[in-house]
Amino acid sequence: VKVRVIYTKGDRVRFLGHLDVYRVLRMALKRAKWPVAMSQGFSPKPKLSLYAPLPVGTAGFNEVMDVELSEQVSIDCIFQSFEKEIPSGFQLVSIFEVPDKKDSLEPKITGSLYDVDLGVIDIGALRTALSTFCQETSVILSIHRPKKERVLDLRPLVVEAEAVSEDPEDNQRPERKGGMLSPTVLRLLIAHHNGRTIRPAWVLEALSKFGFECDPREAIIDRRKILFDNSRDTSSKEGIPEKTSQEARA
Amino acid sequence: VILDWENLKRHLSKVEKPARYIGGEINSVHKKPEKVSVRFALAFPDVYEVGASHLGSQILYYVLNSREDTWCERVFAPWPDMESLLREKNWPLYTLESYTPLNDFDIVGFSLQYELTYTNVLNMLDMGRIPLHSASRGNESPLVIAGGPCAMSAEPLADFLDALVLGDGEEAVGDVVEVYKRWRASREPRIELLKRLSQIPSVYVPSLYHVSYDPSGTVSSVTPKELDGFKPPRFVERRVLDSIEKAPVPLNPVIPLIPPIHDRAMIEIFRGCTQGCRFCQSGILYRPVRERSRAEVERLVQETIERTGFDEVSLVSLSSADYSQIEEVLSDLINSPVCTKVSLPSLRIDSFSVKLADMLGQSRSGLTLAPEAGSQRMRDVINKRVTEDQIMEAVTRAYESGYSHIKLYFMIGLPGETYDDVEAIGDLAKKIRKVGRDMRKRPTVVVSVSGFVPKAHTPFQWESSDSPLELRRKQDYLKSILKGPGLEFRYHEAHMTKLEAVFARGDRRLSEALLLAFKKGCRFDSWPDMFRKDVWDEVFSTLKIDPDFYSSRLRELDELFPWDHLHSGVRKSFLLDELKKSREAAVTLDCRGARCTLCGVCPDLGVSPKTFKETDKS
Repeated sequence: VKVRVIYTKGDRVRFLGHLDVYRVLRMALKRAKWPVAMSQGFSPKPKLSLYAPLPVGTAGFNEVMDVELSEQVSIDCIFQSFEKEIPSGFQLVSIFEVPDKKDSLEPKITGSLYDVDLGVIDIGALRTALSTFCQETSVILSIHRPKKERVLDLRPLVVEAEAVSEDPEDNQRPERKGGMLSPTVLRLLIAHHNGRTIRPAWVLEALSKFGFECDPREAIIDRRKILFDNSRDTSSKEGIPEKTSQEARA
Repeated sequence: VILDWENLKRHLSKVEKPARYIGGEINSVHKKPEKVSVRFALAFPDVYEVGASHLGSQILYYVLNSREDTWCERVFAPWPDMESLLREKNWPLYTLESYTPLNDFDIVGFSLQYELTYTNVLNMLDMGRIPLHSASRGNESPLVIAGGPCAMSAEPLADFLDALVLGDGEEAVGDVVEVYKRWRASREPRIELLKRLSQIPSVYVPSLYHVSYDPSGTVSSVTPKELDGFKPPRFVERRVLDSIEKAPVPLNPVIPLIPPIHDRAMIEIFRGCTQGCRFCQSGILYRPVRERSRAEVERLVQETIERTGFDEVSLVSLSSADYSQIEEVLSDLINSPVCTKVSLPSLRIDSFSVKLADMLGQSRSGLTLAPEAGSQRMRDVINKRVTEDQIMEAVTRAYESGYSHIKLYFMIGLPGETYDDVEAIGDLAKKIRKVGRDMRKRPTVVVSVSGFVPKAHTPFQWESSDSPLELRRKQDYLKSILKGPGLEFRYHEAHMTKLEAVFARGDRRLSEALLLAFKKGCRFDSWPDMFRKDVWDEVFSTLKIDPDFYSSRLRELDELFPWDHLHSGVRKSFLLDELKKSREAAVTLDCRGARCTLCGVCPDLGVSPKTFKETDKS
């Protein structure tokens, strides 16, 4: 039996890395006494998969974990037992059975929807930078990694980008530009293409080329949801806008 | 900008491993501040991943939080990137449970595991906005205490700590809380608190003792100060639980959200060790041997595995193969359905230990053995009672059962060591490799060598330690010998060894050096990347302190040591006898299964060894 667990990696635990999340959820499942199926071999590992890894610092509100179980269980039962053991900061949203055991989500992921809370900034400057960004066909950024430098084109993977003020009055006057400081959230729809994607922080870094300066490390980044390609997925309840999947493929 | 989560989270992405600073772990304890009368901050002067693995801190956290009147929280040393962030924002060092600054606590208790964490103690006090010197703290400042093995000889920290708890802390820490509460209710000045604390057995209040020195620089006397008719005890004795069953077991330990250095459940199977290695401080400071019963060990393992969700449990002690029923316990555990993996730290070197390791199926990870010295003569000097035949038998057995990777721990710079003894390390490693090769095992032998540091309260407390130059020479010599396929040589930074040697037998005059080193930016001195030899050299020369006086001076047999008023229970006359025997390369047997060695612990502290079998297995 394979079950899909939808959970929240909340505010406090946003600072865990992908492997840390895997470790604490694995231990929580063990405490909850789920009959998790184990892999064969000399050092058996529990059969559980997390998808679309989040970096340290990013929270996620509709994260997915698939768990293979060695016996039939009541979903209510395992929901309750897991809810009791999941570390604070995480939250269990729903659990449902996946009919096809071979069904892997990874190839079906087409996008991630992010809210990037930038705090109080000049929203006009951000909007100007975003519109220039979107007019470009290619935005090259080099990522400094401990071992090597990676150069990549961000533009094709940024599907939608919109700056929203959290002050409702500001949004009624979108024509005002420059010098207006507002509490701002950048909504980003980022595509996943053949398992590859980019981080919202990299987009922020690239925006400095278009006149918007901020410290990407001070942004509070939340992934609202992971988007799936419906045509290839029978079990998922999430859809994806038509143009998004087209653009993501392009 | 105040320190709270909303403000903190905007900046935590700037530091490495921010999860070190967020708290919120499973089993961390949250109480309502208004419901408790004592707020206790348990401080570990090293990085989170190290401190989170420390069993002693987990025990005290559990013990203190079991009290209804006390809320114990945790704080670890911030890595320099986090220190910069906090200092830049003008935020104080805070505890992980409630983000409360250290200076808002009633009691701050440090765990002293290692001398090279002392600058972190000062830094944590400073960042927690607590006056560094005990003498400058008033009634509004927290009481700053410390415990752990180094507390038995922490004179270099004497100026900064209000009190030290010597020995087993499980019961003593509660005594401190009680006395603190009564003092606070009395509204007396702080000195009265210190006086009251000094009356608790095993609690040492350094400021109540006067130390004077000889012209030669050695201690001439340590005398309790007389204060209006009040006099603290002449000697402070180490606290010992007469049975380990009295040591509460944290079955719901705090489970870190990021992997700590030992990412497994820990069950202490016994406390104390009487193998009698003459260099070993733990072998003195945790006497006598007190075992937990087999049934209790098995019950605790089962429960802790179920409650924590760890895949692995470690049966911890100072020498786990010495547990009288180890074979029975292991065979029960590996046949039980709950436990996936059992590990035994600190194995002896004999075929029995290899058999145990074998039972645990550790062969893929390799076998670690600690002969400590290469030549038989040197092993006799340090009383590491293992013969070359036994070592060879053990490794043969290891290769037979499929091990190919063997790691060996040695020390150099031991008392009376010659280059023949150093060479013997290389010879032994090569012999071990040859055994493997003859058995066609493609063996790798890793030789890890550390510099010997003479420690207080041990038979070697009179001995000198090698200069960094001499240690380097020996390291280079070994490097030249340990060449070739299947051999790997690892060693420690010689100057760090020296600094450890200075503080391991230091006196109060080193307080100044610690303070200056802290001010000049020394932190995490035990981390090779962080150790600042140049700064320490400057500190000692500025203050005109000769570090060699502490590290490499051979002491007179009648010298009064800075820690002589702190009694481990092992008599100085026994240590002196052991020193003399070491100089004759004569060995002393373990009192388990042999005669009492007359160390003095049992009669003087009113305790006795507790094991579950009459005969010694080895």
